[in-house]
Amino acid sequence: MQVELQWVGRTLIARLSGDLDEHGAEVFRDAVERAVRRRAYDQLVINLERVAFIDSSGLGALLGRYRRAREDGARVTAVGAPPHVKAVLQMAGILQFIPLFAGEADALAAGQEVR
Amino acid sequence: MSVATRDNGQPMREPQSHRDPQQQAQPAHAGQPAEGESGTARPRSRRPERPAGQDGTAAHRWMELRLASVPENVGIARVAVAAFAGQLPFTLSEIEEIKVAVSEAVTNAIVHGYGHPHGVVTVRAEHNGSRLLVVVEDRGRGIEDVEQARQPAFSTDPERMGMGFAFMEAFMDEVGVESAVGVGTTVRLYKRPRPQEGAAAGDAPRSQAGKSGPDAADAARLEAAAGLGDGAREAGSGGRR
Repeated sequence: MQVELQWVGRTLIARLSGDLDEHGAEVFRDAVERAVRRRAYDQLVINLERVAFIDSSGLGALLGRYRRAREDGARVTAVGAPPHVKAVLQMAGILQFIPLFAGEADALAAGQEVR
Repeated sequence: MSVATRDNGQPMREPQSHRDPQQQAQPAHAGQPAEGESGTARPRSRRPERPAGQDGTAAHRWMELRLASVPENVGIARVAVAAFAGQLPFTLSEIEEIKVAVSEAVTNAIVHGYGHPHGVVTVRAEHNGSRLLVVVEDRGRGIEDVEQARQPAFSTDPERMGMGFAFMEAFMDEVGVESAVGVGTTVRLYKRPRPQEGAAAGDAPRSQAGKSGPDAADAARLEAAAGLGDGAREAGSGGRR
């Protein structure tokens, strides 16, 4: 699992590539937690385009970021989940909490509208 | 390579009514030790689910992995089992389902069974030409209350879904759990390829149309379980045992 982080104003974009399983979840969680500990944020955009696999450990990490962001007063969106990843997200009901957008631009625009 | 056809071009499959002893759910007996010692001799001693057919497609095949109980090994287990499962005419989405189920079982063994990197997780996969069985075994802490552990949203950890068993049940035909505190846990995952309309051969391009995921009841149950709120406990009415 590789996590690329980019700040766009008060939005943190996390681009994941690899498998979001128990190990990937830990890498993802640690990377995001380190980033948001140092800097205030309004929105976390999780780019899943290059995530090849997700299981309940990965879902747990997404849910954990959602819970943390809610405490911080920020919102979380996801971007570009491949079909079988999206199927698992849907099954688990995660998309009720973390809306899924086609691309980062859509997620960023949606974040602007809310504010 | 699998040749899953007879001369008439029909996919070769056992009739659904055929039930052998291994197909029955394994009841969880608390206090009953997990079977076997190392497990390495078992695939040979176990009777094949059916005798080898004349064309050889029903021959018993198996593989076994021994993995250190570290999260990095979960991917090895699911990729190996997925490759093995490719010997049966599973669709690509069925293979994805198997990967998730194996991932859940192996993660449980590593995280809950051991919780340290010094344990051994054994992953055995076998098939007889028609049905896949994956056995994930640990010699860890064991589960005190298997029924409770199988309920969705049981986890109290904010970083966990608590849906490992729910996913296994949603994605596999049958899930058996045997566990004894202080002895370990054995999870058995069973899955048959679904009959594909118009499928002539196991190596033919696999249609995604036949199946794309768990049925609606599973989806509803899991959605309820993920709801973070009241009712999540009730949503897991026990699944298939």
